[in-house]
Amino acid sequence: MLCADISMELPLDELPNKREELLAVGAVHARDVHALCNDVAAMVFPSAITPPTEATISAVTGKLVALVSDIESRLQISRADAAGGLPGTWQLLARSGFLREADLVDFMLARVAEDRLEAKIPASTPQLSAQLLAHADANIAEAAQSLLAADSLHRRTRGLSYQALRPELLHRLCWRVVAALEVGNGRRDEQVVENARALISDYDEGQTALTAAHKLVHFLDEEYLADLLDPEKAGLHIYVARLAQGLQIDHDHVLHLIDSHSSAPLGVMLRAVGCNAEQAMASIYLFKGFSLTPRDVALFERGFEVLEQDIAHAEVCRWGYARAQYLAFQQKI
Amino acid sequence: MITRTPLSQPIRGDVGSDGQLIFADAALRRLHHRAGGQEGGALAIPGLAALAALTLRLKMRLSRAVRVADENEDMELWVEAVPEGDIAKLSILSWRALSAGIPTPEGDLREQHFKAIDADSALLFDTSLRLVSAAGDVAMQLERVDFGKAASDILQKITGDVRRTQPILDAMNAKQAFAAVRVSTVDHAEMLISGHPQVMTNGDISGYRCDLHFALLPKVADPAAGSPGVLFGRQLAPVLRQPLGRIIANAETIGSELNGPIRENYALYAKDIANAARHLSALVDDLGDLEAVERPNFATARDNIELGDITRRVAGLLALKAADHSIRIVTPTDDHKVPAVAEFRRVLQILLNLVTNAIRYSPDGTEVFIDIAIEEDFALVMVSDQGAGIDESDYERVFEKFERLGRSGDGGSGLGLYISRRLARAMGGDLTVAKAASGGAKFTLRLPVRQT
Repeated sequence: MLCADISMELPLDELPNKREELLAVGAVHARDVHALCNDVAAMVFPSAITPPTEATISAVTGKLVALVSDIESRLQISRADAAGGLPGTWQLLARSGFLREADLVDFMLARVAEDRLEAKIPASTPQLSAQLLAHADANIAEAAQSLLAADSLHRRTRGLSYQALRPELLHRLCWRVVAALEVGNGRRDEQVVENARALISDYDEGQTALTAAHKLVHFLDEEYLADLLDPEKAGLHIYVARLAQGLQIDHDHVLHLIDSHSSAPLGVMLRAVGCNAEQAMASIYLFKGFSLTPRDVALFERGFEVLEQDIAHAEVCRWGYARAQYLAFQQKI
Repeated sequence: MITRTPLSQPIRGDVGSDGQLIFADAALRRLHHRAGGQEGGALAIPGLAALAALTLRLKMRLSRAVRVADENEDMELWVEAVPEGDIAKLSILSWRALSAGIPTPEGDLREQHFKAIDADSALLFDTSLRLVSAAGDVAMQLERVDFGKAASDILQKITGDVRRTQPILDAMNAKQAFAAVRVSTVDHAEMLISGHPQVMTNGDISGYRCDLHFALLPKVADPAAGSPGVLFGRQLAPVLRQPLGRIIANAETIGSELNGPIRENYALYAKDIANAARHLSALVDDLGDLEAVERPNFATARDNIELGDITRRVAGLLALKAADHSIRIVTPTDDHKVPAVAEFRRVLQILLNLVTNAIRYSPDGTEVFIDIAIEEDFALVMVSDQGAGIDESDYERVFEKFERLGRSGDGGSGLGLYISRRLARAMGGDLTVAKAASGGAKFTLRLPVRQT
């Protein structure tokens, strides 16, 4: 069809330079088709098409090391047997395969994506959570405070990285570290077990940035809806929580989709939650500004309004379903 | 989109390690009872029960949005769960009533979406009211050529009830919503059709959606209700087609190794599965048609058609299948036109059957000829092949039900020619077979010619 259209405009039996023009047009379209195929393939087979870069792998490893170190530290384990700066239980945990489990790696990849995306939001932008500290509704003020606290750089670097984990993951990781320690030492240390229990009972899911953001999205009334879909005003956590709540997909899945190499998934998500084209383009420029190609912009301009909201929503639901299946399957094996 | 009900005090409840609701404030107790729970029984609200179980298992304080279904609405609750010994202490801090969330300018949004979910089938039209998408049972009644057709054609095809569909078409043309218009179907069942325009966030109309409800109504007296075929075509065939379609799609995906390489014999098994499912699917189609044509009141539409056009469409649809066997399908030239009066899709169905048979039973590298002509008051389509032909003594037997002339394992059901002849006769014509000049079989479809 494409060739037919082009040949109607540029007959092949005309001047030679027309042929070259035709080849050039053909080459551009071929690249577009190839890029579109990549977009589709990346959504269907994300890890195969867009394998994590060395930088991502390194960032995930760094976060995992910090996490295990922080837990060990909280359990008051001596670092004397740590080798090469790695936590004492690292080798055992790595050999057991635990550090490669899909949900743990997925969580870490989401945090890396979160770091990358947060860096794109200007730090000077006033964020909604700071304004909400004085909100009349105590639930909102409390959630805003939790979000700010969880998000503070200070807290992230004070050895409390495990507090950001989802409860199921923290529970598993904590007891795996305890078990690895027992194996490593050849004996059980009741003090370590007590400390692990204390760590777990001290944990409060409501204090994680993710939960605080979701709580804000739940509690805030319609007057804030427009702000919630503006990442510069809402901040990344609330913005992502709003998308996740509206689309009924996982928070970390939204992060992965925004962080994908293409702007198409973000465009589809924004259409599915009912953003207008202007709002959507602002988000896309913010997160994808550096990598936007003329093709992305043309696709957006042509496709956004034509794409129906319920069809976009159904598409996002399919992605959510595929991801849930993938994680469940990985978990089983 | 969402309405939150602020709570002056949290609603509290205690759940035991066995899932029993030990204590609950009145609001939670009412919700529990409406969900089918009993006093002193297990907490009957799945989301809350799961949260309680999780907080007890992990021994952690949890804080989450939990979605629950109340009898009249879906709600999102914000719940904090704290483990205290063997008891999970739940505090519900707020709840929100949820809607499906796709804005439309008129009508009760919630009701529209409920109806849409509840509908057995749905049809989606573009702004020009041409069919773009179909879902549910009704999709099984439609063919590829139906997409792009006007709403009037589609509704007439589904309902056969021109008089009652007129108000629906009027509402659709005016881009207005309508609710629960009762019409009869071609199968003499009754259904309710509701419709509303599809509206984008900027207020522009992007299309029109019709939701069809079959099961809610008792069927009117149907002269064919006692025949076993009605049950099959109307109820069983769609149920069978859907899983078969999935089997075919999945098996083809595996067989073509789209998700990565697999062992060769597994790929071959997958292709065998796809072929077997395709055969079953064709059989389901044939049995559905068989049921239709055997009803005493079976009738076809009287479309003005042009046979040359249909033969070229058939050749296009089967070009790949023919090419697999190096068979060439020879069709009439574009300027050769023969007008006729018959139902377009039924003629297409007959010709697809005849040409598929011709390809199936012809040696590789031969030709299948489709020709058209006018003979007295009849428009003719002749399909002839260069195969072994059919013995003259079998000229009638080949049109009998389940007759395979001793052949097996070729993917046929023995119903195609029987159905095709019944269809041809229902349209005022006939289907016969004779010997082709090349020695193969020559099938002739006769249809009433259209006087121009």
